Amino acid sequence: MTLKPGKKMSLGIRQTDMLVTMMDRTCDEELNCEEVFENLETYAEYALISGDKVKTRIIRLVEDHLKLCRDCAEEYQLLLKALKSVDV
Amino acid sequence: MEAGIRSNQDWLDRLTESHPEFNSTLTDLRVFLMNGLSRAFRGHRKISTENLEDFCQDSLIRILEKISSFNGQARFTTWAMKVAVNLVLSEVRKKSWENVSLESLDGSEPFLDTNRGSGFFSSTERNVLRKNMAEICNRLIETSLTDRQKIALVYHMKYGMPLDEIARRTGSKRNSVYKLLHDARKKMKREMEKMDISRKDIAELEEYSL
Repeated sequence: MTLKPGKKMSLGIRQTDMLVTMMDRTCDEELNCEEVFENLETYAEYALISGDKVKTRIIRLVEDHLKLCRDCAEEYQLLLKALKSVDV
Repeated sequence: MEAGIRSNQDWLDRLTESHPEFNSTLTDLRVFLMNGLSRAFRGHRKISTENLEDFCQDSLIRILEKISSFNGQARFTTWAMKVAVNLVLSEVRKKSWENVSLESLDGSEPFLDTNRGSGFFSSTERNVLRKNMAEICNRLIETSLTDRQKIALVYHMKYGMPLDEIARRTGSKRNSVYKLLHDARKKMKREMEKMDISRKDIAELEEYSL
């Protein structure tokens, strides 16, 4: 997949709204998708438990990534749905 | 025994092939995964009960292959479900995108509705702000990003192309595509800061983007 010479790549208004919000949330320290996947079960259990929660550095970084990465967020939502239905 | 009440060590022991209860434990795990996956992917147009059973079988194989990487930080069943959801979603995404040509995408409607938030009740001032911001973003995409960053950003954000699919088409890895997007966001953010675009302007846009 390459960019043809002269081809203009642009986004619509709704997409740039989202991009601007994502830019604002962008930090120097971000986990990549693989690192998030490695910690996703820990984060899911953190989200499912009630009561006082201690937000560790990893939990915070996973949370930040999920706000920025639609693909990981979709995967996380499906995992939550699956876990809620089997009552782990 | 209920799948959810076994200890992690119990699961690990019983899922050793030499264990006398290996097969029955595998059956318990299959039932557990099938229940979760059926619920998670219910109503998904690309998945039938039959192929969910196949996915479930593939998930069991993958779980046994990766079992040594389970670090015990969460319940074994949560980890196993994570592996299964990942497998199914990856397959679904692959199937959904394998025959989609870039030409067909270029002529199609964007993945996200570009008109949302611009209806009768939206303020004109906000719409002007959004339009101006879109123009700035598109100018920055053109002038400050590399071709690889442009491709990843636009195909992902405009058409919803998954990162794995962009990676497949560019002969790269998902993490590298994520890094391209991260660097693109950082570069555009710096440019915006240079242009003195305020956080207040950005905050006004957030309600449309979430």
